[in-house]
Amino acid sequence: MSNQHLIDEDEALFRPIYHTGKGFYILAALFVFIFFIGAAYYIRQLIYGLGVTGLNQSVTWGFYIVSFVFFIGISHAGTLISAILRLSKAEWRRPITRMAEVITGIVLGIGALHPLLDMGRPDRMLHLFERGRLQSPLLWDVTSISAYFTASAIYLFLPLIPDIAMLRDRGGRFHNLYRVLSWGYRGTERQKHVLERAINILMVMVIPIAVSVHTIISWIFAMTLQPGWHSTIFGPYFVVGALFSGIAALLIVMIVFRKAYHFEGYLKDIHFQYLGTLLLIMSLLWGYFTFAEYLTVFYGHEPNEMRVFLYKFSGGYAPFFWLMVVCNLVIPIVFLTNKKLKKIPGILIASISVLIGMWLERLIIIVPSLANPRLPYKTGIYMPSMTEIAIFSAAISVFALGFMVFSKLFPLISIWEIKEGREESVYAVSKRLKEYLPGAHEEKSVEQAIKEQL
Amino acid sequence: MKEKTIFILQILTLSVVWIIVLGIIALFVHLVIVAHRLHDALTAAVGISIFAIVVFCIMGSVATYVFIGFQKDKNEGGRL
Repeated sequence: MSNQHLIDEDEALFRPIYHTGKGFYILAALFVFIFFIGAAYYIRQLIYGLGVTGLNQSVTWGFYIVSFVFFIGISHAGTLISAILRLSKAEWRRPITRMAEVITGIVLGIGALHPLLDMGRPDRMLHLFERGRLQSPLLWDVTSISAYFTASAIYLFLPLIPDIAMLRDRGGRFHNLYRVLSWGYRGTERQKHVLERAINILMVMVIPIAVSVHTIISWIFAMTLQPGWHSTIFGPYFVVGALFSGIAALLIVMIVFRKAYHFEGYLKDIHFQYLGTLLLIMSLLWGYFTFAEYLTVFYGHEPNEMRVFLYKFSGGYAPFFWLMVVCNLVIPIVFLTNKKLKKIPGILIASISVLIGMWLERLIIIVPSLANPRLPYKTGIYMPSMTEIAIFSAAISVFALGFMVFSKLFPLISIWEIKEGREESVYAVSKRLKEYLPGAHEEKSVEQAIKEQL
Repeated sequence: MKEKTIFILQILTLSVVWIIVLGIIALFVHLVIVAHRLHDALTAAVGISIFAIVVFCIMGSVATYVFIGFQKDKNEGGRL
């Protein structure tokens, strides 16, 4: 099979780069507009201070920190899921990994900026570098997010190189950009070997870094003695929540771009079925952690903890709490356990529901604890202002815009991995089957069985 | 664009990674010095710094390994 033939075969993956419809510009203009509204509100916040937000003396963390934890959580979609699927040699990963890695790159950048938004005087961030204490979880956070961002950027870039080289060889617009970014890749045996080895090292590194990121974010809360935060299971609870929201975000992006760019031939029902099952498993795991967390608080019945507990279960935050349970547990279970509903529209509904639920979960963790401190204060009130809502909308717009711009420069589905899959997957899988399937030592019968299945 | 210009730009892209790595190393060394000056849990600061610096250096090294590997094969004209 010649390369030219394969490139032609995968022409659908190049098409979004060379053809841009009217809809793209309309959507891009809308997102840019929303971004500028958010930017204007932020400038107003810089001028007048945090008084323009809903933050107040007892509730000092609100929308911004909620969104910070939420966006960093979504970033787990990418590199972590991609690395796990690569490491476990899941062949169905091939059309998914690139989108997952792009989500990480964009969302991590957006999330990491949120603590800056939360500072009335962002210039004071420099104090962290000047007089930071390495014993503080806040500085651990800066370190782990920087490490994850660097690792994710390299992990996105390296598997992109063969595709950039293809774009370079095709000529056309941005030719010089592709020449620079392809780093002289020509697809020789040695270059392939170098690339494969580097990706292998990175995928092993990325998993502990990603786990550390969300564990450390949870420690920002758990290392304090605030009621509702001081919990030993916050680390794994946050990691599970991050993976949960990450898979949901990945599914939404896959469904949207499948429809927009006609990737039906690449993102097939089976990919959504597998990821849908993963989403269901994460939903149940999240339910288990939530139950364990609240049961121990209730059983201990410590007065300060109970104030926060009751505030969530039957007080001011009860509607949000129960909506979170419906979004994170009830809707995913209904849509993902029923064969008739577990189709692409059902999976989309479940994924959107999970994203809403996980955002509420971050809100429910952060605000009620601050509203009910150990000190004998009156219960605090928090209502987000228009500034916070506008900036949150701008953040979502930047995410969408970032993804759209990326799709105009690089393929959203890894072309070389698809090509490699066609050429090598059947052989690799049959070889693996022979290694672990009892009674599959006879070469002919296994290959025959695979052929029959195909 | 000339080949030489392309090569210089490629080196610049790799340099971005190393600027981040060197920036992190400089930051951590500075914070360890601050911890030492203030007698503020120096051992914890040194431990965390060593761990972080190693992680960043590995990432920079992986990127450099790929860059050199590609350039070497480009110049030697490896088998396609």
